[in-house]
Amino acid sequence: MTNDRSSKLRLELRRGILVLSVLASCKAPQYGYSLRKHLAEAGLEIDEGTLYPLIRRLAEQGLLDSEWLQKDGRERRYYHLSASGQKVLSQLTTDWTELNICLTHILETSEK
Amino acid sequence: MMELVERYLQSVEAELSTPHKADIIRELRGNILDEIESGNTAKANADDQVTLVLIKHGHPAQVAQSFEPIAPLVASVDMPFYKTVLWSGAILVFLLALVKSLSVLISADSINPIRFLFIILGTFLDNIGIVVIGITLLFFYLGKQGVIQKWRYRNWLPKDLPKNPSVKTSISDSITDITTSLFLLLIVWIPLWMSQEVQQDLIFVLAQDKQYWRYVISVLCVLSIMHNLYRFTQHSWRKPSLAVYVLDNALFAIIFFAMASETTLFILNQDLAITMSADNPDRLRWAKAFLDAGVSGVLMVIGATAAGIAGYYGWLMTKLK
Repeated sequence: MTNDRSSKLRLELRRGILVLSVLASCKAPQYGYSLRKHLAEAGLEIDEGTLYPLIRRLAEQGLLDSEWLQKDGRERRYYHLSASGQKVLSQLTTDWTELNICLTHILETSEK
Repeated sequence: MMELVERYLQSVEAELSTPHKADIIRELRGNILDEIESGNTAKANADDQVTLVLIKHGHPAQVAQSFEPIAPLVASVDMPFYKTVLWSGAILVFLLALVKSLSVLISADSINPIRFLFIILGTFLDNIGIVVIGITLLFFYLGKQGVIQKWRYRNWLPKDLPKNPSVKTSISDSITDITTSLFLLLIVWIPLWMSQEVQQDLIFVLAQDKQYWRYVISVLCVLSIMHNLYRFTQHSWRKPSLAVYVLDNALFAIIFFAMASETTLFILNQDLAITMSADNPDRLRWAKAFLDAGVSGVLMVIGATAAGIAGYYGWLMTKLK
């Protein structure tokens, strides 16, 4: 029960930073699997059922541009940051930096 | 290997309804093949690897749902208000059922309480489904536009909040009170709606010099119904409305105690008594005994119930701020 609650809370916490992570990773063109691998290598494991629909939603919202390309004998849909995605990424990055400072302060002061 | 992947993709496609489903499947195929390929070096059996990757992706229905999330009929933020509206709808249907059953009884010259309850239940069940579906569709449509939240919490002020929000009014009590009042009105005004032939078969009738009780009870019933209808609009008790409710029940108690103390409130139906004395003297004897002691006993019990309710709510009133 406690483990369940704990994993739900962790999932919720990670969900909040998912969009920022995906947008930041798509500065360079990425396709579904490469993006998942890129995030996993950076320490952020996201399951397929969450990541692939999320990329599509971000593309539908105009934050990512996409195009189909044929590489290594396989066609893949490549995503990269759009102009409006760039603006949102800048805003989210500022927010994240400020939040991080706040949270670090809260965690440090609560330890004393 | 490809057969398993294609079967999986077709199953996902079958669960999708979006016009972009071909595009989703095309992309999903690329992602799955990439994942299978990346794991092939570590796994000897290709089919096992495919199975593992597909299971990790999830059941086709789950995958389809993640690409095409279904909006709930009622958003969780709208649920408390949805429940309130459903209750109000149910009350309205119940009141309509009540009116219909009363009119059926009147047209059938009957005051059979069992039949009365069956007609209410039948009419209620006939209509409640349509009301629930209608309200749900309305919430689905308005909830998607965010209208409900904006409308419900517009221009509220802290000073308008109730002083005793936890002392809630009971919807079922209001329904019971309205039903009782309407049924009482129906009994009191039997001469207006029941045919002469059926009235001739009634064992008791109200004495000629006690007819004024009809008007006293009617006025009180109408006031009680109006107050109960007003209570449907209130979520919690306020002192003035609670005072009216206490007064309402206290008056009912006084009236029923006064009626119980009357010696000749009801009299035997003379035409019927003559027939009964000849055909069924035992029945006539029982009727007289009930008239002497039973009627006042029943009236005392009803009066005591009303007094008890008045006492309880009077005590509750002292607890309100």
